[in-house]
Amino acid sequence: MKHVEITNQPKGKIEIVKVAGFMDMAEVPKLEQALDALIKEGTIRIVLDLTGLEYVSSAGLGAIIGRIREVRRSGGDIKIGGYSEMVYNILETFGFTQVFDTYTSREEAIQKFEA
Amino acid sequence: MSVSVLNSELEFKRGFGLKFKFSLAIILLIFIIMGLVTFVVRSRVRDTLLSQMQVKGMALARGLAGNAAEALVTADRLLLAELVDKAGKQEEGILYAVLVDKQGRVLAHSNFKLEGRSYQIPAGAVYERVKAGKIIHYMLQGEECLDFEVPITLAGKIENVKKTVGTAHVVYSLLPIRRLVYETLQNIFYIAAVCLGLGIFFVLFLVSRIIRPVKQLAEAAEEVGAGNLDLELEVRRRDELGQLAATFNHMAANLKQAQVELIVKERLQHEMEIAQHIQNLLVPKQSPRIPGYSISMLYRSAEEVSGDYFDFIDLGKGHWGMTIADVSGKGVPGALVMAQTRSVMRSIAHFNLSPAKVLSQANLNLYRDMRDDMFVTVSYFVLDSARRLVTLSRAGHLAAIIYRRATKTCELEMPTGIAIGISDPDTFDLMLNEKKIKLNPGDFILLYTDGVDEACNHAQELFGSKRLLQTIIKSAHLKAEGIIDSLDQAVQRFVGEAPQHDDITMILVKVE
Repeated sequence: MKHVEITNQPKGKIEIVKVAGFMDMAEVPKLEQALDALIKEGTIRIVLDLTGLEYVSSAGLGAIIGRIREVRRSGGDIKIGGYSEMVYNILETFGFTQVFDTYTSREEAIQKFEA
Repeated sequence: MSVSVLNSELEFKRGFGLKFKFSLAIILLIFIIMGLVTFVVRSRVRDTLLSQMQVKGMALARGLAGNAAEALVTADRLLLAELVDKAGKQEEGILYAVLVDKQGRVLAHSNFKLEGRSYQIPAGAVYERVKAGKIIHYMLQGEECLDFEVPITLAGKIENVKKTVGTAHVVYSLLPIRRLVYETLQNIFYIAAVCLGLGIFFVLFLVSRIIRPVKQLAEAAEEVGAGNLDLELEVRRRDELGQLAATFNHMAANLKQAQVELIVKERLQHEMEIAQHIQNLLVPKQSPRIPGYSISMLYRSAEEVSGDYFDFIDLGKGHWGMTIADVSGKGVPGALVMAQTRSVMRSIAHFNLSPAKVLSQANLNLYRDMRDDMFVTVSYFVLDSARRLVTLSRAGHLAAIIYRRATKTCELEMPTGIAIGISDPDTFDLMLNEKKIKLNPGDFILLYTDGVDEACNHAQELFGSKRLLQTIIKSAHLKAEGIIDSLDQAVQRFVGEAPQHDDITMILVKVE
């Protein structure tokens, strides 16, 4: 079975969460738990690096959108920093890129946070 | 919803309690120990006293015989009397001492009245030969006696040959020994009685200490059996009973968790059933009949997730609104959003032939009420059947596929647009576009949900848009129903035995 792998590392006040693998509906709770744990600790500036993500289901998008709205209420944000072509197509189709900050690399996303 | 708790009555008839059983066991044990001790002590004490008596008796009899030898020769009767008198008073328990001549006549006796009579050993006496003489055991006037008999000898003329001239007897009563044994036993019984008392007291104390937690456990188990799973016993003891209490708590906690899980599972299942019911009520049961068109649909809902819906709305004058949507979110919340989306779109569509305006109104009505992580992707087009004109708008949904018979190719139509429920109306409207598509005979438009191209096989490969387009082109000569069937079969073949994760929905409108 393909799974999703989530690793995170802090960079200053920003947490970089790398999501890789295959995120079908069954794998969505892993991302939810990882993000919720960070938000609970008070981290509200998160960069999601989706470079290694082959596929994200609409439930996965829902999980990301829900968390973005949550941290935005506290003055933070979750920005996408890097994506695969497949994921970009999904984000684009969905209109995600029009509403939420999506950048081609994590460095760019970090820069936008720091700006 | 209720989870059934065991309602059966506790079947238990209480017999003797542990206290009684333990006490009985201790009493029996003490009795057995005391019995053994008594038996051992009685024979040991008696044997010891008897052997002491034998040593002393023989020594006394030998002394008497030695002293009496000379006096017997000289017939010194006074001395003889004195000797028996002295020997008779030597020790407590001595009945009398006697000197008897060779003929069996009493020469001297502690009771001088018996002198001159013949010395008679009562019938039934038991003789035991020992080194210096005999020990004779008999009853004398109802009293048990030991008679120590030692021969009185004189040195003869021939060297080393001794001549027996009579016998010396010292007779003991066994009464003192019996009394001593009796007293010893009496002491043992006193000790036994004290032990018994202490034992019972100790048992009652110990058993009630042991029983208290056991009783608590029994009561707790009864309460848990009656359904109170919040119960927790205090674990203070470090012994097996403490372990039992801890195990009991663990069991109750596990039971509770299992019950909660069961309730949650049942509730989820129930919710899913409601959601599916709602969904089934909402989707059209058959496709509309429009002259010059063949229209078909496929709706295959996944077991757990209810998210897709589609609709055909007759807008009058040959205009039809056709929509396909995918609601994120499972269960009742998802189904409610779906119902809401459907009714909002239906009510607006009748007054508006512009799909972009319909979607804009839908977002305006819905986005505030939807949960943070919920959204709806919608494709909506209005078909002007007379002019064969499709006006398409898309809110985050997958591209519409247009098949062109002339070129035998597919075009993906993706006017920009954001999913309903994730952005404010201004951004939503700004991004929303319409696309007018003219259909020619043999052309068709296909709307589908991600359950189709993201159908997954066991190897976790996706069906994908490439396979989708290939299948479309291969079956494009068929009527709408035939194309949908081919697509359905292709997806089913690809997926094989793998479970269906998402709803599969398609609508296809073909110009004949």
